[in-house]
Amino acid sequence: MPSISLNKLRALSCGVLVALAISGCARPAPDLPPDYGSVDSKTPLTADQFSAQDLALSCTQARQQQVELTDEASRLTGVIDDSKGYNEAIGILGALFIVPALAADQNPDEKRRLDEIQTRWDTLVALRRYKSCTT
Amino acid sequence: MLFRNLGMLVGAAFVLAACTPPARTLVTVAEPGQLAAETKTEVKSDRKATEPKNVILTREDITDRAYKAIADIKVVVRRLFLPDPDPTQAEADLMLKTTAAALGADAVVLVRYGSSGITLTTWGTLESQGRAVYFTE
Repeated sequence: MPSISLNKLRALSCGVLVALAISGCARPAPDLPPDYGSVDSKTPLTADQFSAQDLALSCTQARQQQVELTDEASRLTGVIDDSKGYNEAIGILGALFIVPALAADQNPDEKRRLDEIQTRWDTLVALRRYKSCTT
Repeated sequence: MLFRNLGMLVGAAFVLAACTPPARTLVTVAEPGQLAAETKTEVKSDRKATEPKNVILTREDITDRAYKAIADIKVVVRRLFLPDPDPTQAEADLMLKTTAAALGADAVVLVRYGSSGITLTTWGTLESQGRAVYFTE
């Protein structure tokens, strides 16, 4: 059985660490909601899918919230984009020198908030359809 | 030693010659609401293809015209090599429109994007999803 030296094992572990550290940098697109908009939808919207506060919102208020969400999402996307160059440099260093890239900036808070924003956005879009707001 | 190295080089050249470069863009099409499902049924549209440039793309729903959903589309744009350009939302949009047009769609609604970033096998990946629909009136 071939023996692996301690140095090779160490280098391999470092490579795995680099890969793990940078592999989570991309955030997947949030899943689409069920098809409630088709004329023959099997999952039409009902009032119990919305909170009482949301049902109390007017079309204008729902639209205003969407505008605020868009602004916040743009700001967070900018923060994540700013980290891209740094993460790329970490990736190159990792590939060349097999050093642990534990310092890769993955912006977990910003990504989590972007997912929350999309969820809220989907709720508001569905609410606007439920309330028959114009596009 | 020289022959062994030469042999390895020739072998590698044969292997590389047989490889086709991986695609920059990956597209998945599924029945509405089925993109995340483990097994996806093939989507068949009997509608005539539309022009990609005429397909409406929106992050919103369309509430002033009745529509029927044809399919959910997922697009992944990948930066496979370091010198390649970063994936952009414009690239993802174009692929969403092209795929939707081939299905005979008039619009892609509820479009959403992930955040571009490095993955295990790419220097940048951007994912987007949308629902291809056609107007019934």
